[in-house]
Amino acid sequence: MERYREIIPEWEAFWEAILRPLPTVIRTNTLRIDPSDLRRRLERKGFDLRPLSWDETCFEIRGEIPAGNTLEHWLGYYYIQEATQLLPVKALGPKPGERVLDLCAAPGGKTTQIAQYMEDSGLLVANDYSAKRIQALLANVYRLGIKCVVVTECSGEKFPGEGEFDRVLVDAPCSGEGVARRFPHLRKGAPLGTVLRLSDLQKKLLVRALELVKPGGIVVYSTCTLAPEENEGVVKYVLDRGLAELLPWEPPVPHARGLVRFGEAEYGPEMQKTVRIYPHHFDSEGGFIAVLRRPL
Amino acid sequence: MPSCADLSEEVRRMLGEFGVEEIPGRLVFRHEAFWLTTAPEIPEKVRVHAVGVRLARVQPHGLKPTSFGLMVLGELVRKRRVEVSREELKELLLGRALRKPGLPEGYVALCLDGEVLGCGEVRGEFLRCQIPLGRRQELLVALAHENKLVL
Repeated sequence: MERYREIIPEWEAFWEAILRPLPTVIRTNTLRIDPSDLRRRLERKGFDLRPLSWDETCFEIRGEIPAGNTLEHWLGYYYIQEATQLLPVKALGPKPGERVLDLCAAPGGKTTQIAQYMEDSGLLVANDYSAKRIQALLANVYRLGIKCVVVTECSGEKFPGEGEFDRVLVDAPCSGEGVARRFPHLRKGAPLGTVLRLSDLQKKLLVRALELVKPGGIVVYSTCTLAPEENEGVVKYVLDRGLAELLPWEPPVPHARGLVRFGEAEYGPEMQKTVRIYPHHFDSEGGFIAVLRRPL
Repeated sequence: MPSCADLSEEVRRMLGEFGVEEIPGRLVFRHEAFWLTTAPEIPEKVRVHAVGVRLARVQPHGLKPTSFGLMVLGELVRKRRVEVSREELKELLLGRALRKPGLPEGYVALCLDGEVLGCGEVRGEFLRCQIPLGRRQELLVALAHENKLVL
């Protein structure tokens, strides 16, 4: 991670956050239960719930047993979803009746969140590349009772079609440096070879997503890594080819803006429309979000 | 083998037996099962694993409602509901049959505190659990944890 010392504001605070345990956050499945009813039920069982200031359907939860071991979780009344992971779907802004593609969907946290925004109407295609990963996706889709979803198996960069979706989410496979609070082995940072290999795949996924969305449609590109090569570098790749325009997005949480440059790479001032989340910003994981529009 | 249209009618009849008057979505027949979905179409040229929630499986002896399907229908299930206590549920989840005279023969919706948990089956005077094994284990773990929590 040392190579990020120059770009991460408040480096010491960043490291203190990385070493702290991560708060557990749950997202109410509003298709099945009202957030206040869920809160009442879980508080009756001894949990302490505090609503997130920027999303009243989500709660930071504390209790003596894991949040995944309750009847309410089993019934699909909530999904355990880290706070930063809630943001890409907010940026995507899906609406009821739309056609939406979640290109790299497993294990399904963002898929089920999209379905809630769509009020379970329209077409939501949740795709992933491996049957094994899809098992986790299916388990969550079934548990939360999502009816508007079609679960597909395909390499994202080969997903068939052209201009068919109103919105596409590319929550890309990445080196995961942003989730180092949960996975200590990531705290030393990802090997550059891995970063560059993933960057190639991410470019292919984002290019394909921009072909799959309708002209004028929205593509959100997100990762849970800090590596600029997997974030700004990927967005710049599609901007340079005229495949997309970058839209500004103001998240409801403290954040940093995308990098204008890193090392010898120049990403340009336009990249400040993208968003970087660092763990010390609001006691969460790290991540990157860019909102793109396919030109008309 | 009955036609898809016949089977579709059979699903509606089965849901009618559970007191479901209006199906919240459309029925799609795929992979030897009926799926409940609100999706207006299914993508082509790509392998499809699921279309909404699987509602019923076609089996040699007829249709079997799925546990997830009954759970999604929830309050729409007005008949063939069998309320069980936590102790009874634990027995059922462990694979034991419960003697419960007077219940309707065939598949039923197992309920706890009024909430549909999944599929059960009544044969003679005995009630058995038809919730998939993995889900049973998860529910047993949740109930065990909750027992620790009850104040």
